[in-house]
Amino acid sequence: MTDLETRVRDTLTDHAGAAGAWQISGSALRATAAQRRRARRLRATTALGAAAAAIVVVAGVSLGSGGGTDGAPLPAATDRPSTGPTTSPTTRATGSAEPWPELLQVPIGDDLVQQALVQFALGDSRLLASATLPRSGDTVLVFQEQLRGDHNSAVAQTVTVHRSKLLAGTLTLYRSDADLVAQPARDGDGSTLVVVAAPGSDADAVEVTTSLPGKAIDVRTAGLRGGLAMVELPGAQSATRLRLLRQGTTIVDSIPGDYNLGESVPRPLGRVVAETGKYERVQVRTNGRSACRVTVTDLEGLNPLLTPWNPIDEGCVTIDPGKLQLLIPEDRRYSSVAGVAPDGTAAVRLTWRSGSDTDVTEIPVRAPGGDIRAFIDQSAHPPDQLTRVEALDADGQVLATALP
Amino acid sequence: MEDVAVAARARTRSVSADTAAFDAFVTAHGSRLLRTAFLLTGEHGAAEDLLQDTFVRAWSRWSRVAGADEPLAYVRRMLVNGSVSRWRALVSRPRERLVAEAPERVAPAQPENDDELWQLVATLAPRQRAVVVLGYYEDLTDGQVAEALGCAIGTVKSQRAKALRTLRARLGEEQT
Repeated sequence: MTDLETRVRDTLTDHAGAAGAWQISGSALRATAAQRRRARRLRATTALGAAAAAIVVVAGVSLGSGGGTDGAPLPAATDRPSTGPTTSPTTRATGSAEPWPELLQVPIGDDLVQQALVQFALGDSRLLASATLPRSGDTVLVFQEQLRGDHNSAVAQTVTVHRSKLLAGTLTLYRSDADLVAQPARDGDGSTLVVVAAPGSDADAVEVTTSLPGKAIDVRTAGLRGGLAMVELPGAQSATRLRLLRQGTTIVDSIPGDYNLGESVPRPLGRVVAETGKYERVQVRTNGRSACRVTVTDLEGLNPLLTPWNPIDEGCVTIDPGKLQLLIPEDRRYSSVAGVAPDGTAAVRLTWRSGSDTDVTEIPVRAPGGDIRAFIDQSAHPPDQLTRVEALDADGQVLATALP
Repeated sequence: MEDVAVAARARTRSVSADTAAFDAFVTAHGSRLLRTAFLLTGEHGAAEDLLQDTFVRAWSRWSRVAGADEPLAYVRRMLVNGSVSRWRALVSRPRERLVAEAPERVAPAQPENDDELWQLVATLAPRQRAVVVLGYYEDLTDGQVAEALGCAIGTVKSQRAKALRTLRARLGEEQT
């Protein structure tokens, strides 16, 4: 390389840093794509409409305004989603920007590492940990990568080595100064939460809370061995709370993978009271005072790609047992509707409108174990088509109404 | 009826997986691609517009992007092509403005340091600039640059040689 080429390379590298970090999320970009599609359709429709109007005018036919079966005013809302419950941010105790040491409890050859880097497009990731999984005896590899140009974010990926074959696990974003990395790895037919404490952490144990709808909360504690612990999970999406302990005292208390959850989500939020969706699950989680809807993922099937594991698309309310409350994420085009119904509710009826079409869906509401009456819509309607929600008692009488 | 339900579930699964994969892709590669876009355009706003447009187009054909051998290379190619198209659109737009008096001409300053080398890179034709950015910043091989630009390896080499010759001439380094 000539001197000029070296200078060009150095100049480009210096100035590239000035570009800053990319701030626009994938969901916002998808929304922009949808807007553009709608705008194109609107332009086409407008052109057709203009032509049709011209024909109508020539024919001397007057068009009525409004009309249709949906023109009647909707009843007043009895409730709307609150702006969010009390914030209780994750406790932070050991945040560190030090490089994380390798925790190689199982020796791994360079060729296997290179194979994983290529097969899962792990870029500049480095091997952070290797260990034996408790259920299958397979080896889990944890890779970590600092996002280039974004010093605040890092990504960790889990890969399982099963009989020399590499199986995709999860991909999770963290703050660079996170206190821990904790995410599931594929372990036989199930999943195991792999926990790696940040360098400098003096935690000696980890306590993981898991929750499934209608079942009692399960809390398991495991000792950190060399900064690493593994806890078997009843489902990859079931880990709702994680605490790092030092001599029995909590030093970190968090929702695993909470990187994408806003400040309106109270920490902790340990109990899952409703869950639907086989491939991309939606849960309603609660701490008894607040309830939040979140989209979570799991490891079902043999997905060859790493599964993004950060909970997303939250919508929260402070629970009022006398009201019908909706849990709707900010992204109203690609998420789904959930909510909390008042006492005595047997079903909720959701009314949707898309163009001139109106659709109604009804969801049975149960409260297993006397829990809150949470519901999650499974229809294909996005929240921006929702016009009305009604809570019905066992006789079909409307107990409460909510408007989105 | 059951077939319809199975098909609907399969579609839901596919859409959900695509959504998650796209979001993860944006998160993982957005900042890196933004740096490349910035080097290709030289302006923050233009770089952000270019990358946003690229991501939106990538989402509209995500199945093709995700199915590519190297999705990042695929999107980078869209980005580079977008930067060249954008340049073409800009130069084809009337940019002259009539004024009553001719503005005073300022003699071009002689580059004194590498910050001015950056300004000279910005004056390169878009394809030459893309070759320089992809080759020296992204560290791509000539073959990878050729793939990104959709041209022959020989074209990459000649474009790079022209770019360096131009920079050297403007820096007054022809003797070196």
